[in-house]
Amino acid sequence: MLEKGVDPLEAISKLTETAREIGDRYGRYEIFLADLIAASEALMAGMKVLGSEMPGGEAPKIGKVLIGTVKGDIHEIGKNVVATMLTASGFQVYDIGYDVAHTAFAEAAERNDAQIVAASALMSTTMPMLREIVDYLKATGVRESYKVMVGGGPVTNEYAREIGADGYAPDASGAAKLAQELVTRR
Amino acid sequence: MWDLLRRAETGAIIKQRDFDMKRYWPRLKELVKEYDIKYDPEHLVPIDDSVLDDVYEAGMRLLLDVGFLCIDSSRLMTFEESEVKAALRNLPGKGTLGEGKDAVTFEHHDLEDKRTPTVLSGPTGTPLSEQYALKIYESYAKEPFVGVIYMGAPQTIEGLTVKVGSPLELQAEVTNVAWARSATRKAGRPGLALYGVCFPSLSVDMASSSPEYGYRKEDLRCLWPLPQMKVDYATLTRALHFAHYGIKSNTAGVGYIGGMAGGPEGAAITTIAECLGITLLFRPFLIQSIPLNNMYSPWVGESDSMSLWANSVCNAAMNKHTKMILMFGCYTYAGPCTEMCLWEEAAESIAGDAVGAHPYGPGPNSGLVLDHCTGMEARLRGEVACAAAGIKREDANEIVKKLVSKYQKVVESKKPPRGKSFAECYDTETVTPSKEYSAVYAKVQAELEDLGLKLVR
Repeated sequence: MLEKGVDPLEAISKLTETAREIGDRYGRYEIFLADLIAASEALMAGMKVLGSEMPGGEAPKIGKVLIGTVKGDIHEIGKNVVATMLTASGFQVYDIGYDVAHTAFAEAAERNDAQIVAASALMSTTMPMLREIVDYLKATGVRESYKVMVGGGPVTNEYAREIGADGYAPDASGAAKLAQELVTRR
Repeated sequence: MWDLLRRAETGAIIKQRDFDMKRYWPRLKELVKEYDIKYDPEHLVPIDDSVLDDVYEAGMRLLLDVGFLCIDSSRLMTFEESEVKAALRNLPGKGTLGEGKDAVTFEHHDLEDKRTPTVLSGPTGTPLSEQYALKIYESYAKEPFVGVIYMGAPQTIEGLTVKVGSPLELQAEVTNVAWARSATRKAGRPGLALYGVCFPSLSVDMASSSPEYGYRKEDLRCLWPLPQMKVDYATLTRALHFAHYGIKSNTAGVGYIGGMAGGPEGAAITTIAECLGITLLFRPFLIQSIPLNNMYSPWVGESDSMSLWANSVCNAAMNKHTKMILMFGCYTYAGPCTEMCLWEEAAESIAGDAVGAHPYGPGPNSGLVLDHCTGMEARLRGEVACAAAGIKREDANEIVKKLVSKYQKVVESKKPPRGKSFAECYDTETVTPSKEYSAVYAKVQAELEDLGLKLVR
């Protein structure tokens, strides 16, 4: 495509549109998680090639998101879906896995210069760890540096507000939209 | 068991992403196509035995061709067909839980088995308040159909929030067991077995194995693999610990619909593959097939059309081909004191009876809402399971489809009725259901009887 003279920015724009369509198809369950991951990886590979033609040597990203499942929690399907949707939406995503301590969230956010910290808890006994992340960011004086979004089975909008998070999403499509709003709000 | 668990240290190394995307997913898609497995909303209870044979064989192939991944060692654990078949042949097919007069027997059931199944019910992992946990357990212990109590998860201890990995977690679990034992004693059923919640820290699981203050050898423990087709050191250590302690376990194959297992077809095959693999690895007493539906996030359940189909097919296939003692059901989308919760339960119980599985749960509201669980849900599980014993699959299918049609659209809206907490639908002094809940219950009973069920009241 590049050899044929296609403008890389235009091509990136088309890929971004495709990513949105893929996300929508996943949201309608016309495709499933593994398809979403494969498509997302293909898109990222395409973005890398096109991005190398851009000033700065990489495709523009909407923002950087640090995502993980909290300490003591092994559930990561939902988190993986969200990470993939965010990648497909144009975010640079740093996935730090599951069973992640609140301190590790903070350290990884700083190390990767993230704008958003996204944390998931799937059990009522691990949900308190979401509060720990927010409290730790506050106590270490860096709370204002990040937008914090939370999710997972027992988590609610009310709980997110109670702990001082910036947003909550009930599912992956909601999470991608929320991340886009949060990064615009900064 | 040890010989098998050693494979977590000796198998070939593979990255988790490669296991998922290059080994598991492609093979699963091939098997769905090769065996022509198709979700059939007209047969939520399968009546065509060739479907059962195909799904079972596809599940066996998936296990043998893909194996399990130990994510802590990044090593493949592969299995031979002969050893899987030997493990299945050696299943006892029968056993007891609990003590003395309160001991109950679980036995392998055939399809359309005429024998009444044994009910395992309780809060089912639902978060519990300190204020009402004891009363909630009493509400289950009072229900004569309940053969084993499935524990809930205390949220606070002396006002402090219970966090996984903190000392509060062990304190909560010891207190939790004490509440449940007190409830069973008050109900005159001191030997009733308790089934511990899934997913506590490994240290708490091990520390709470105690005949004095924790789980006795006559109780039951939870042991699930990780999705999909994975284990970790904690799971393997848990399995070894339960074997050394001498307590029976319940384990589960969980193909997540909407997750890596894809649609209901992939989830069914994956669930069977996992059930076969964990039978070999863990030598469990009870086995659940739980193709949980992730599509209606944040709620998860298995009473919706896709999950119910996959669950029925998996249970029927495994009951036809093995001596497993299978459990059916786990969560409902709706909450207590709603008609929908009771319809969902009834659908699960009827389907379960028809395919030869014992009733399990439910955890209303996907087991996620504080104190949203009561003994009335267990009562309906038992009444329907009794009434539907021996039901023909064709008849079960017609009733189940009618029940599902009552709530499927609500599930798809992702806004199931929240229902009421224990304190809102029970008299907390006498631990009896409120007039409102009794009326809701009676209405659903009458509707079920109109559908042809002769309920044992």
